[in-house]
Amino acid sequence: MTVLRRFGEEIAFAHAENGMAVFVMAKPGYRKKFAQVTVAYGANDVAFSLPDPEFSGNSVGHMRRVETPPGIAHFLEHKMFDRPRGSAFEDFSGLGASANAFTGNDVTSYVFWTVDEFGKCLELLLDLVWKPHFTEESVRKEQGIIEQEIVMYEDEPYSRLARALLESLYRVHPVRIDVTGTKESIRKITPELLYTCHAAFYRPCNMVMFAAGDFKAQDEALRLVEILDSTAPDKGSRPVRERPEEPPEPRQSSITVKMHVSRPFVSIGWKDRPAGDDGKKLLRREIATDLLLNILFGKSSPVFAKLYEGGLADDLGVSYEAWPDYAFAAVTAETVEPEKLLEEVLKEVDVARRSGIPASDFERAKNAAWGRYVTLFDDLDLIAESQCQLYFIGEDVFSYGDVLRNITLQEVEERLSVLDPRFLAHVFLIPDTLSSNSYTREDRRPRR
Amino acid sequence: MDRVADPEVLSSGPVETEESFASTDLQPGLTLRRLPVNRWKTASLTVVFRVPMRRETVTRLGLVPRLASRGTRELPGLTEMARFLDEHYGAKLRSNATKIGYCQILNFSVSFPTPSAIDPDSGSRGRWLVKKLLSFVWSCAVEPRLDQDGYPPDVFTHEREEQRRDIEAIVNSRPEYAMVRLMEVLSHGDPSGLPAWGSLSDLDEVGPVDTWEVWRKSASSSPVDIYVVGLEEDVLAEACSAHNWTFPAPREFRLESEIKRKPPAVPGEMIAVEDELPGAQTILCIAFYAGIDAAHSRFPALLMYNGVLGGFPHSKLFTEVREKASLAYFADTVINSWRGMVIATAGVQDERRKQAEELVVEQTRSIALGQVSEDELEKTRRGLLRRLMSQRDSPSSLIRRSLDWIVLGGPRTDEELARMLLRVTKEDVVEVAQESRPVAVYALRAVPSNASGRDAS
Repeated sequence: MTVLRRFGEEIAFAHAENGMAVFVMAKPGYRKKFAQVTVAYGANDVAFSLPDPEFSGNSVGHMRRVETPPGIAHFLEHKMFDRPRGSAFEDFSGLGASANAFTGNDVTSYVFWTVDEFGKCLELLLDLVWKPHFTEESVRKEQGIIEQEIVMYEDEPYSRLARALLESLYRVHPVRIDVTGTKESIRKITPELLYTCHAAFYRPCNMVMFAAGDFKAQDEALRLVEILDSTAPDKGSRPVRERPEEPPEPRQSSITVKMHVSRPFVSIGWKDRPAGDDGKKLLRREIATDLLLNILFGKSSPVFAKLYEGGLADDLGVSYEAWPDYAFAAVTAETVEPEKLLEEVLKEVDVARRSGIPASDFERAKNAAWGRYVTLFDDLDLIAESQCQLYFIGEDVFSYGDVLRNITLQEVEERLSVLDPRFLAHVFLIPDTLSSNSYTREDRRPRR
Repeated sequence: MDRVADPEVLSSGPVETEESFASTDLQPGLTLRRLPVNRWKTASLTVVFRVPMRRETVTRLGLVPRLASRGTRELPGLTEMARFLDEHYGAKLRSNATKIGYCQILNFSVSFPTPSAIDPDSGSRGRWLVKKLLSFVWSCAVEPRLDQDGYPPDVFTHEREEQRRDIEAIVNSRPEYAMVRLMEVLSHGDPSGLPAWGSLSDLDEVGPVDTWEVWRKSASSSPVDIYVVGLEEDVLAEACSAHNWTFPAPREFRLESEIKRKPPAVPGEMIAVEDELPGAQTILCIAFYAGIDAAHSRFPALLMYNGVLGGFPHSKLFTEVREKASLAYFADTVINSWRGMVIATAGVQDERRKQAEELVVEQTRSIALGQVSEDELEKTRRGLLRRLMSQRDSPSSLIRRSLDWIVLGGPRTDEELARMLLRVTKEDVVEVAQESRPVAVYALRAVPSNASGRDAS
């Protein structure tokens, strides 16, 4: 048992015998109790291998290789709520709790929130993730539901923009494929394939649990470990997640998407070299690059005021996504002049690459980042998600703060190398002919 | 399961809690509301002005929060304001116009790490931080950067155009656009039914001097609430006593602002409206009028009815429309507690929209026929009670709940509402269903775009 403490927060950390990690954060005075189970399995895992005799698939050496249709991790997440007698959603409702799940490119998470019956909810959550129940009929029905989810995202400009940016940046890496898959790919999903993926990834050694609430952190962590020891399946082994060799250059320098929006959107991305499995290195890069992007394009930067007052953008979204096998920086905005905005952003990058970062800007950005970091501990969902993801690279939410505290100006300036024009791609999402085929029809019907 | 909110009023119940805000009247109509408990790392100071919706003021006042973020008398530019916030531990300024029932709500809020989270021994530095930020957020609200008798013309013109673009941009979120259109259909021109930003067509008429004049008078005559979360009583008391609560015009608080107003009349016959916009998914919204608002004694029964129909994953819409018929990814309901309505929304394939509409209406009929099991009822009751309790962990929810109660009335405490929910019977829920009737069906139909597609290089 390890207990991590900083600025009045306490997180207890332990491992169950089957290898599953457990984190418990004490939140004195909170009414809500919360638990999350995260599996290291996401949309990027379209192909994998496992040395498991019960596996079906094509044999490659001592391993068995399995290829799956895009979108299967997300489909599996939906179907994990099916139980032999109804839906786990209803069972959580019966306990007065609510539940949800999320699939990303690299992980899938299951969560519940409750104010009482925490033990029973936890039992249900564990039952849900370890005891799948799929039928031909339920898989067929889910295809219709997910098709509507896919088209819902097709109508969301920021989803389309993010998707197009990844498609432009990546040539072969599966991050370029949509998390939900396509209407065609999800039609290929069968109960057998779902069982195969579940057996491969939903193993204690490949999962982590996070709980938070008005608990004594250490006592609760011990209790959760006991529950896991008595109920969890064997540790198993982690599957080998297949990632093709990705060249450093983007696939396409630009993509233009047309859709029914009120004004153009722009996303500018720079593909970065991934940090690999060195968690500390990845964290330092992430924090330094976030600071850099905020210094260059945040609201206190001169370029932001220039773009805002010039009517080019009213907000600039900046992000740096860092995983062991892929990383990229992005600047996103809504603008009336996409070309001009792109030009201004690149001009600012060019100036910074030549003249560096003023020390006063660095100190101010770091001070602000520290304040924002501390307040994140009020957001249980965000802390849980961050902790579960950091666990898989050997770090935790407090080490994030430690790195932030001692990051240097030099490290931030070194990250200017990410914003290299050779690794740049951009997406313009522009309005189709607005209103050209829109109209309103109104009628009044007798009461029903 | 995430869904767009009704831009007017959506809440599980306008109540205060046992840990409700401790109120102190600083002046007539100026109330300090401090949450006496603190379990958070984030402190916030939120200044809220409540102004009744009027056609002649709503569009101008809708611009005020935008203009507030462009500069104050002391910090006259974007960069100065942003740097000030960065230097105060990344404090965040949020200013916006929202709506609760008949009131336009103008919010100016600054959030920041609590002094003890930054440094347990912060002492005088913590007190200094709170004083500075209280002064800052008050200045944003009532001491904006001005040029003679109004906002600087260039800043005003810029913000007016940004406001226009933002309003036009609602179309970029189809569920939000559909909800706004449904409210428009239901309001048939009544100004109290306008959205918080007012009217797009009125934007051309507003200027920097008249907008400041409207705000100067409204700010000086409206009820103002200062919500404080996360600060020790002595720190706050010191900051408040040092602060000069000046208004931009002589304070003339009028109780008239507190008079409750009725929502727009409900249509006598059912209105069906369809818009067509290029896209992939049709959004269907159906408004059911129950005539039970937040202050009504049967409001808890409406909450239960909404929960049984579409408020949860065990509800009829989720199980029948999504899970059994596979018609939608989302199919749920929300309450508009001012208008006394339940609004169902679903994202569906265009060619199946009629089928979805029939299925939604069928669920309301089945409740009216008494087809509600004990299991459905109890799951709903437990879910509502959990939501009520969980909201105590969220300062923004507590502020919202307090404002809902001030504007709309209803049970004042969690305990009162909880007791009322525990007393709701199946017969009460069935009765609500029997009295509810569909009053508007709105469909934002998806049609193929003439020019959608993509080019690559």
